Amino acid sequence: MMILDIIYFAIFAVVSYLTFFHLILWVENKDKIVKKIKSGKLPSVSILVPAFNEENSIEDTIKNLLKINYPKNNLEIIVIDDGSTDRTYEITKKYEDKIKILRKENSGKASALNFGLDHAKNEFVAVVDADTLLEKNALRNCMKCFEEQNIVAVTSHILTKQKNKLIEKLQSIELMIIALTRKLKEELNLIDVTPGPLSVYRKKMLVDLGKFDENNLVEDVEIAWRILRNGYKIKMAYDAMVYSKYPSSLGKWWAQRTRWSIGGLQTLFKYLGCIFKKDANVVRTFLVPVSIIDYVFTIIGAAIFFYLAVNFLINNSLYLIKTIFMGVRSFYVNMNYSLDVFSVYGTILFISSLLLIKASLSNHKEKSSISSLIVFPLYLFLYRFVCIYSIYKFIKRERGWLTK
Amino acid sequence: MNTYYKAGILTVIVFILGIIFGIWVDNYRLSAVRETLSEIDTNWNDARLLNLYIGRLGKDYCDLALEENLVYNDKIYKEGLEIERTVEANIFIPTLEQERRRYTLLQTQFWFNSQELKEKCNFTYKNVVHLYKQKDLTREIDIENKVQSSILLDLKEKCGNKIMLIPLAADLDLTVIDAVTKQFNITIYPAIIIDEKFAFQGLTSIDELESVVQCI
Repeated sequence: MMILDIIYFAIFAVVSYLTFFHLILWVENKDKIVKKIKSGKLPSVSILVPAFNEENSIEDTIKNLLKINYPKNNLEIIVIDDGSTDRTYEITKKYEDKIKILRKENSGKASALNFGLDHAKNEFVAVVDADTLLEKNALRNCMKCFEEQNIVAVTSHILTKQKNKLIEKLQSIELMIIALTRKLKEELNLIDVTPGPLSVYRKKMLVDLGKFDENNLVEDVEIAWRILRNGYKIKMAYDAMVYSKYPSSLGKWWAQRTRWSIGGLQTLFKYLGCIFKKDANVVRTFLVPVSIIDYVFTIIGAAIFFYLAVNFLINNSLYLIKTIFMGVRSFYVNMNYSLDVFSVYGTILFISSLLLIKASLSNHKEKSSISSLIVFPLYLFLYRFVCIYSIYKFIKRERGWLTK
Repeated sequence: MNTYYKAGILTVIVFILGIIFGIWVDNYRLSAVRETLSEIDTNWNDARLLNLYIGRLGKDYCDLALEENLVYNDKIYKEGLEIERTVEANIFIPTLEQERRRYTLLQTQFWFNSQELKEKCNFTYKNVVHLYKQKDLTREIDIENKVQSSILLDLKEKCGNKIMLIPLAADLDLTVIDAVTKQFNITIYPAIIIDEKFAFQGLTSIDELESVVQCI
């Protein structure tokens, strides 16, 4: 058996474990996913909207927040202008009688959130991105999930309405899959991100935990890991739909995902040490090991891919040059396919993944086109290259927002 | 039992079933190769006996023997490809060293039989033996092997039944092949021996081969 075969077996073992893990969770919990929680009391919430150069979207977001179905006397909307250089502040100013506006020098989203947190007066804080629109009951549905005191955060069901370009359609499919897997992970308290479009936190606990990490590129991932590491819970309100804007070009998508991936690495390195501790916390037993394996296999996978691709190119180029040089007419083309253990593993994984994708899409009214679904594996494949690029950037210590 | 263990057990089950299936498929392919080799062996004995028969009872059956030889040549060439495919596809039983040796011996037997038949029946076809290395291949040798095979396929297309194409692996520790390489002082591969008289070493062009084969 060649070393490559051994690596393929290892990759299969890990990928299939994670796929089966989600499948089992789905089989066991599919009835609970869309289960409605009865409405309880609606506590007071401060909505924090950090905004940096959001002149194109901030007005819609403010208008949307003013219309949500939540008792107005229990709601405080705070827009934090993080040193915008465009018309964000002027637009926001039009609503100063209905919302609170804070202004500060630009220092990043986490810093803006912490600034807003210092000025929030309510028991709960909801973080809403400046390019996000909430469904009427989204916040209400999130609040219903705070059933126990040790639930520190509740996330929402993020989708996008942009579905014109292929890259947007692919992100839309990805969001639906993420929503399902995130909800499934709730069962084991494994929700590893409280995303920016809409997440609600218990303010006091968030402050006690040290607020958002201003040195991390993905403060929403880091805070989630910190919440879990401290033994608290994160829930997801599957019926709390929010619509956010996602990159509409490959370049912007690449930049955004690179930032997320570098932030993921920052978070991983921050919590790497916990792996040597002796506790049963999910960050130590699941999130850190899975992240390590993910990055390691991404590196190995990329190395194999480049090795095979370069080998293929060199061999075939040399073969072609030599055959042309020797005046050969018959070309040797190895197009043989033989059934082997990897074909079987591949088929099993493909079917399992299809089941999960089908389950994810079946909970949504909007249909995804077949062509987008066919291209989707390529999208996931491309994402691996983002990870490789991020590792390279991370090693080179080139951080920054990478987005305009 | 929690989900972590359930997923682990399911993974182990699928993993083991996959390996069992993989071994079964490898064995199945290996059995198919062995079965075909046995069939070729029988064909070889048939051809050999026909050759003996011609030696004793005259040349009336020369055309039949030639026909048999050509069928055999085609069959054994295809089987060679099948062995290579099996070697490439098999994961748990990948080398097939014995089958390769057996195959090379059958090819060698065919070569010798072809020489004998040619002499007895005064046939004018040429035996074109392609000696190649298959172990510890460098990129250069691997590509040259493939290019040489392509050149020989071109030659076969041009010459048809006027040549017998016999590929032989030269690095399987077979005494008979070692004797052949020693006789023709072959040190560079791929090498071509035409009609047991001319030996080319290294990549040989179709023009060079045609100048000796002269099939047109």
